[in-house]
Amino acid sequence: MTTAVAGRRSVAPPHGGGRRRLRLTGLAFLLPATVATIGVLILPLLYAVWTSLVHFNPGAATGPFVGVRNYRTVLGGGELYRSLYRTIIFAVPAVGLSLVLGFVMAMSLNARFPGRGLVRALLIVPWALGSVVTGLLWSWILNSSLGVLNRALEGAGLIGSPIGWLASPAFSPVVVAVVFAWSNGPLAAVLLLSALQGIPPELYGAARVDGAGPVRRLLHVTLPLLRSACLVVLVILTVEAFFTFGLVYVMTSGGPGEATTFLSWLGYTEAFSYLKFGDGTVVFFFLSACVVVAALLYQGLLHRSVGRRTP
Amino acid sequence: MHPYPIDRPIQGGSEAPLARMPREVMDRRRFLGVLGGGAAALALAACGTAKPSASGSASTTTAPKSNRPLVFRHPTVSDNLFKQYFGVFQKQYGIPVTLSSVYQNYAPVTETALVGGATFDVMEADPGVLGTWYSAGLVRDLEGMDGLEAILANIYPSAVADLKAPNGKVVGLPYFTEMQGLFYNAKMFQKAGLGPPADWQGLISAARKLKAMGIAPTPFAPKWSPAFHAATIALFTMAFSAGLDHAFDETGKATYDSEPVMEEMLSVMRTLYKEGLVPKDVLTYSSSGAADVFIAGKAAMFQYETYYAATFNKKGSRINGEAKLAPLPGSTHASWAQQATYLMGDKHTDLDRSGKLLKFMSATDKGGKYLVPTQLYAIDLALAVPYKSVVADPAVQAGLSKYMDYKVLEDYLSSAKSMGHVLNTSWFGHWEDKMDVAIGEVVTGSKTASEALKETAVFARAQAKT
Repeated sequence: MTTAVAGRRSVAPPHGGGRRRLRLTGLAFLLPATVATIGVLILPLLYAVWTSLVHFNPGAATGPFVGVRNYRTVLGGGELYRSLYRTIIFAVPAVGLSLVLGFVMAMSLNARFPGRGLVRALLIVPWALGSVVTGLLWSWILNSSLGVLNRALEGAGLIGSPIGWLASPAFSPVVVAVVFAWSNGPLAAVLLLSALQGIPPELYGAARVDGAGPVRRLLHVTLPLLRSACLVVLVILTVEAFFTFGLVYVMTSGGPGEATTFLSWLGYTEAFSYLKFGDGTVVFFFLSACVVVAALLYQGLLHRSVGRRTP
Repeated sequence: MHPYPIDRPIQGGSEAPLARMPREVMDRRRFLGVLGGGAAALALAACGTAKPSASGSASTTTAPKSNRPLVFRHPTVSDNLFKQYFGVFQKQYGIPVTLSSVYQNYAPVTETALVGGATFDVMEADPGVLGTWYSAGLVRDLEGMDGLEAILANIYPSAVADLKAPNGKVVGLPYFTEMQGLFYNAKMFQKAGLGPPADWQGLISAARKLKAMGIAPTPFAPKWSPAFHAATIALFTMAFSAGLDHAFDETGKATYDSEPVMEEMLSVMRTLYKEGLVPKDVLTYSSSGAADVFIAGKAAMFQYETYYAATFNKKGSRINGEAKLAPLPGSTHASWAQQATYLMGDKHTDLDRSGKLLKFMSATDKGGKYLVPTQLYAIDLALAVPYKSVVADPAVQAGLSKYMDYKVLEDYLSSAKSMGHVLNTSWFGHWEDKMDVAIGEVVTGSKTASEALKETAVFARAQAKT
């Protein structure tokens, strides 16, 4: 805007009152965004911090100040760490599978073939369905008595009796992770595909001239140039995995036993089932901190790997 | 209710479209003019608009109290039928009523709305919610309501306990009685030459036979998932029917862990699961999961809410006429009954108008007749209602007999057990969560029955002390 105004009037910068007016105009432009940021981000965050420091009474929407008691209760109990462990057990395969699935899909869709545009458009469907619809859909597919998966496997003679996909405490987090990957793989694919399209074709040409086959081109051209995109994808998927709630809500309700009681489910039950909003807020702050740590970890690892490769 | 975004924004976009846009220059005066105009428009809009309730439902706060419609909050169940009765209410009292219905996850959605500041004059509450909402200051007690004593005297004693907060004050009036019953598929049982099981060991034997004969691959379809605490309700229903007298004493102290029948029933559950007599995902079923299996003919027995009788035995159902309600197996046949209730919002001080609606929808109309419980709940919706006079009404008997053996249902209601006042303590739901988990662990064999009972009882005793 400054350029436009300057261009229309004169090349010389404004002086005195003109500069002040210009500054005021700039501030006026910033005002809506500032108000929105304060309103939807800063104030709720401060309110959440306050909630974590009081014995919250929902009727009054506040309560007596209790200092760090809620933090001591939650961080001092074993339930939080058991849930963190289960969250990690779920998130590692969920993120890994989503990334691999997304990468394979992106590579496939980067190739030229008839109907590529349509396939790319359809790619987004599992992601666009949302977690609740996805959860319901897969609950039916995996149903041990009525599900199509067991019926297909039985029909093909691969299993003798139906498998309870969500019945085993050891297996159910992995099954939920697979459903997560089905839902979020397309997101990874879209992001990686856009990065793939940004790789100059000359680099592949040069690699071919140097005698590099498809595998070496993948390892030495494609993957190094996808590193930044991978970091973004990893962070997004990790946030999604750590905050997974809809799938658990619909598919397992935290069970069987506590097998899928992840941090997000624990925070939800503390806040909304027991109305312990202080404890629930602490759980969600802890969850956010875990995500930040994971993001820093990714960044560190990827930067270190860049440092090693740079001469 | 979902804190997790269901519809996420589509990622991507680039600067290219912006680059193609014509660069229109806006000077300061024009910008401030637009800003000022927008602010004025917002201010005008704010002046002319009622403060929205957190739920997005009809406003409940701005119109004068005497004229504004009362807001009735309810899960989505035959909304048009409910609205017809609001018409009757308006004719009788001259007070209009607005329905605010919630399609799914009623309790958490309503709770969130209440916590967010929404006000509902009268609202439905699932069993066990009453105490939590009351202690959180979201709903009020009914002390001083006209004719309350007479209404309570007409309710089965076990149900009255569920209407009270731990401090003894009556907070809710009944909507209907939720209790698990045992249904069996008469056609399948006839094919196997079986009758309804007399006890829980008999149920196991019947299931084994039905499976061995290839009549039902998973003969028994109960619901043992944590959703709606179905696992805990299933276990205690079984235990009450097999002779458990009480799970908590009068002071609220857990006593069930010293009752042999509890271990016995957990062992029954473990056997059924281990031998594949129940569906494998019985521990993670959604609310209708067990019913789906029963309706599909994959199971010959079903244990869940008695109101499913109307779903099974209606026109179009695959098992229409085949699903029979049987007495629960065991020495007492007693079920665990819990009351779905109507409560009055605490944000309103208009006890008179809200109280009239509460009384009309859960008990008597202006003429003293149990109009809505009789006609709407018992006859139209086929729900079990805990009013003695309604249960004895020949019209209700005729209505419900279309779906089930009415005598059996009557026995369920009269012999049902209550958990007592602990049901409405703020910690009861937390204990149920623990119990659901423990049951899952016993059923899958990762914990012994005695360990599970002891752990949960220790938790309950600690909660009761605090």
